[in-house]
Amino acid sequence: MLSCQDLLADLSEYLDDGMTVEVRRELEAHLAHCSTCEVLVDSTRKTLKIVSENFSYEIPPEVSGRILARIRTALEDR
Amino acid sequence: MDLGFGETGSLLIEQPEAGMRPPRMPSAEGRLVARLRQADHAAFEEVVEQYEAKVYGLARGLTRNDEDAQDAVQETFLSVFKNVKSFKGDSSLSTWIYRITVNAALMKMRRRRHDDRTVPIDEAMPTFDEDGHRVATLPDWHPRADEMLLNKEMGGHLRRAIAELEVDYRSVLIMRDQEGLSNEEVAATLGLTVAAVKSRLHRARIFVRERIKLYMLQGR
Repeated sequence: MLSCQDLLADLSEYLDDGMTVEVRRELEAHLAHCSTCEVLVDSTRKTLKIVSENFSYEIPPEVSGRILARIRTALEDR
Repeated sequence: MDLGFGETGSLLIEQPEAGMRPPRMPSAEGRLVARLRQADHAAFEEVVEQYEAKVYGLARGLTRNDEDAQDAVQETFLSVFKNVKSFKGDSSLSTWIYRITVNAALMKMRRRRHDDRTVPIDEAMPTFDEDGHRVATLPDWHPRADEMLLNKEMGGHLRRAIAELEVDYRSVLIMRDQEGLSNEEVAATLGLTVAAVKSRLHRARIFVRERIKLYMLQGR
């Protein structure tokens, strides 16, 4: 039977679906009886979902405009 | 590979190891590069439009402040403009641009060494008993965690947790989880193996999750 430490070692791969069916089945057998690890997996998944869905930074429009203006100037100076 | 700071300001990230086959440049990208080499104004605008969001996200995540991120973005695109003739297509255009971005951001960070907010990653790793079971004397996660994560204050804690990651780990987490690059793209950008990317990503994710748990427990 896997330990919590074994599960943690495979957590990232598990969240990315990057493992064999056999290993996944072993992890899920552990999760079925370990509420601490179940919470760990669930909370990490939710945290990463928030990072991927909400954490990208919007480039300020004036920065975008300034970059293009600098490139245009540089091209014209060639 | 460590993301060290070079002395000359030239590319700090190593090229992929010998023997690693570079990705084949798609024809549309090849045509775009050819236009860039001819100093086609429209091509440069296309590149800026296509990559500025990811370049900014990456630079902002690494430098952790708006001013440095904006400078890094500008320097990245000017560097693309100046150096496109020396771009040999050994990597994809996007990888090349992200590599320049990381280096530009690292140069900015070098000037702010006094502002180091990182926490050693090992400090946040969970502890286990002799049998490999988790040592958790307190409830591990707040029952209202999902709700809390979506509020502004907890969002700030989450950003802070990412900012506390050592740069080798933060760069991987930002590229992979925030900006949505693949493991292969991150590996090519940082000159790492895919296995090394996965390993850093794994530790970075656990670090962030454990730091958020601390904020939640402290906030009760």
